[in-house]
Amino acid sequence: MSSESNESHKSHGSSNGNGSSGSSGKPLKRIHLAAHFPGVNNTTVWSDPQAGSQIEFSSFAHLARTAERAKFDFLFLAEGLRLREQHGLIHDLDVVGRPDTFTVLAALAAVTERLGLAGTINSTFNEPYEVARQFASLDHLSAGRSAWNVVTSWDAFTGENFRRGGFLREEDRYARARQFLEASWRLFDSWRGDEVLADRVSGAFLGDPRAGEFAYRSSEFDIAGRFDVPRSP
Amino acid sequence: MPASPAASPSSPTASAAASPLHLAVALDGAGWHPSAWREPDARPEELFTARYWADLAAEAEHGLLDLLTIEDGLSLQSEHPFEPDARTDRVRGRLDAVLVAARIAPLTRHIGLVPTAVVTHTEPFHLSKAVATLDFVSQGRAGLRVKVSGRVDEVAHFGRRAPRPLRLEELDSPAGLAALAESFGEAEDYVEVLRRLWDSWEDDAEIRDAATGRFIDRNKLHHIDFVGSRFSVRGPSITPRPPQGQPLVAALAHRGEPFQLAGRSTDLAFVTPRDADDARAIVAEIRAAQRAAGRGAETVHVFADLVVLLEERPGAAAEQLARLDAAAGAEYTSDARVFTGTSAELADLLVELAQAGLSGFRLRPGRLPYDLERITRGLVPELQRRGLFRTAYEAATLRGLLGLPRPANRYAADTAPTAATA
Amino acid sequence: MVFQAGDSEQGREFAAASADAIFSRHGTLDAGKAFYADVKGRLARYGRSADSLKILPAVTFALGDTDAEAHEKAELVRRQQVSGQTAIRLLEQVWNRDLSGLDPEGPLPETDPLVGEHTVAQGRASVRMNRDPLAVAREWRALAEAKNLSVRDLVIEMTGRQSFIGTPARVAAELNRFVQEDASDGFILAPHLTPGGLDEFADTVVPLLQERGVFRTEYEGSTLREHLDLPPLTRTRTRTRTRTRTEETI
Repeated sequence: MSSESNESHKSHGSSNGNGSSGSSGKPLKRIHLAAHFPGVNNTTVWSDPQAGSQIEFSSFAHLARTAERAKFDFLFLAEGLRLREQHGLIHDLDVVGRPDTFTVLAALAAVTERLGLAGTINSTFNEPYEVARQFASLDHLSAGRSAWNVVTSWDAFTGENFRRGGFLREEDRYARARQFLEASWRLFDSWRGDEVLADRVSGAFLGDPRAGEFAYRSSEFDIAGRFDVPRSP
Repeated sequence: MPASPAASPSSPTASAAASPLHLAVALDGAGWHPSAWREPDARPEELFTARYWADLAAEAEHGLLDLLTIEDGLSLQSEHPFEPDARTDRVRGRLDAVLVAARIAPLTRHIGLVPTAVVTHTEPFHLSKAVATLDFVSQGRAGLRVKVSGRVDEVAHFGRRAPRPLRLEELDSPAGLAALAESFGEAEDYVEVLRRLWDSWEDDAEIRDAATGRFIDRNKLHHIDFVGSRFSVRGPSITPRPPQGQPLVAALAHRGEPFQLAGRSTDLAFVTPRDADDARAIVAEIRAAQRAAGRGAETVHVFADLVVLLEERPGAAAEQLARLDAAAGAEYTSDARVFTGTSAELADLLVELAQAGLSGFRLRPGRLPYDLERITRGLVPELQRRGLFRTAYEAATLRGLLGLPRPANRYAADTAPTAATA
Repeated sequence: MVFQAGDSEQGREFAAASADAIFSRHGTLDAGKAFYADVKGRLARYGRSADSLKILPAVTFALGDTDAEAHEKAELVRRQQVSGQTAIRLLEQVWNRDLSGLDPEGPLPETDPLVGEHTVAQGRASVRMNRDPLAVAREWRALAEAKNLSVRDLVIEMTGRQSFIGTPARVAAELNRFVQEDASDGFILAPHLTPGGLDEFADTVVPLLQERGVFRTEYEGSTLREHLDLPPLTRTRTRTRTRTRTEETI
């Protein structure tokens, strides 16, 4: 048990109307809850008469609305970038197929107001400039509700779907993931948040001619220029 | 449930007659004129909010427009075609267009959503499933405008290729033409991969067969095995075939190579004719490319792009343009023809240009939301009075609105004989 | 907001350095406590407070009007999740062999797993996690013999057991105990049905957690960072957290 965590929850305890301390007098921690969309895995029972579509937007909207009605912290979408195979054949016993994570989360932002929207995005088969602008855009479009579950891939099997292709040695996977995150933070931070003036009178849209300037060099990346999404909530 | 072609409202037999003219609106920032963000009814502080885009989409849908496009790129906007600038007096910054389209999809019911995406640096696998998903969340209203990037700054944002700086005046040199051919060749491969991935699941691949325990019939999922000089993609997609089968593919084209791409690979070309004769020549070039690619029997729409500033008093729009130019400190120029005038004058021009073989127009509002409202509340009623534009949405999908059939799956034929003998 | 999923040494360290939340898979109280203490203990080295990283295991649940009914439902769902065919496929992922001829209602295979490159199953994270398939096979065989389990029963036992089973009151109490005893900061709930699999939980368990004062009754903030009670992100913090030797500054 950590004293820091107790302190943090003490500071929030008052916002919960009742019972903010347990029988021992110790402040109660607040529970955080998230909803995982049941997807590609044998844990999702598709044969049940009540089982609905795995791809229509109405299914995603239903789960998101339930989670928001119950005041959950966030909804979470997993990702897999190649259909699973066994004995060289596409695995057909479980749910197969899923939507694009970013696109569904952006649409869910339209049918929810407070629910967090979290998705898995791979750091091996993407590039920081593109992913950073997608997350920054999602964060704008959801008014600060997005989250990124960073994962790495290792297999050339998945790489066959990508122009980058590729295979990363296991020790390189986390190095690339770490550098990918660092590069993304560099991009997010390239706008401080006060650059957009939109001052009709003076005619200054930006307050800084260098807004969005960035550079990042590492063993995996060598990128520089100007990021084009202003700082998100 | 997977979409079924027979049940699709866009199937040719089910759709009512398409509108004589098609209208699209091109959304970008506060409008296409660089001073537009300073107009009294502009909303420059809201450009990065969902509400701004939702309001514009609602207005466009109120006007029964076929589709809206959303501009995008992988660099900060710049006056220079290939490099960044340091201007602070123009709109800078934007949101990812595919995600803006997805955000407004559940808030609209009829209008087509056609975001722009750069194909030069991105992954066709990712974009294919993103647009397929946009088609699911919009229930069959997704399209995509593919954009080739020649920008040096975008190369540096990705850091994977050697920058090949190109100057505008070099475009017609042998080196310039070779670079152009390479970029557009890549775009053609890219669109081929998008299309194969959309078809990589047959419509009835999901079977949920409790008796055999199978969720899918894997014989109806297909590796696409695209192998090209620039990239290879194995497939199948992780996303089932979208409601439209093939979401709409569009491209903006100004010259030879892009016209070839438009004719060979797209469903809709945006072009920038100066006048009717120019339009006639452009359409002929695209039709020739289409025929050469064996697509002569398919519908490829050609829409002319026009920047429009509209006022109801004759002469007033030109005065407004002069005022905006003065604020910008320069006369506004564009790749597209800039029109100023009344709704009736614009309707006259559209009729004249349409006779050159164009099937519709993509209007770029000089000011947003002002000129969009002049389109939906002025131009549209004017065209309706002339019997040239729909008075209600007649189809539920974007392909349906454009009179395009839901395409057969290129892979379905492979399994048909097997199924027949089984 | 950055989350991290993964349980390896590298994954834990990566989360401690960079993540706002970590998704774990520790379903038991003791395993959860050990993981929680380990990961929270790493934060100080990165100049981070213990509350700046939330630990959220992915869990499953089964509810019923009585505990007995919940257990019956749980058993039924497990059998739907793991058919005989699925049991064989999952077993192949450990054995790395073609076991398609095996009877799922019969005993485990006599042969040992094939150690080395995985050739049978591709595109699955779980395959890589089987670091020592021989040890896994020994453990599974011992359990199957002790309890007289068929292949399918064993796979259900090893992969399918729901984390929380019982009446809404019992599940609420157990979830709360897990958090109060520092086995986690909350949960990622994975329902087994799309799209209504969370409806009953939302209607029955959540109100009980709210009555206990351990779950919000209304959203207090508007951003996800606020929901998770995370310290506000400052520019300097991201800078400190992201500095490494591999990188040059601007």
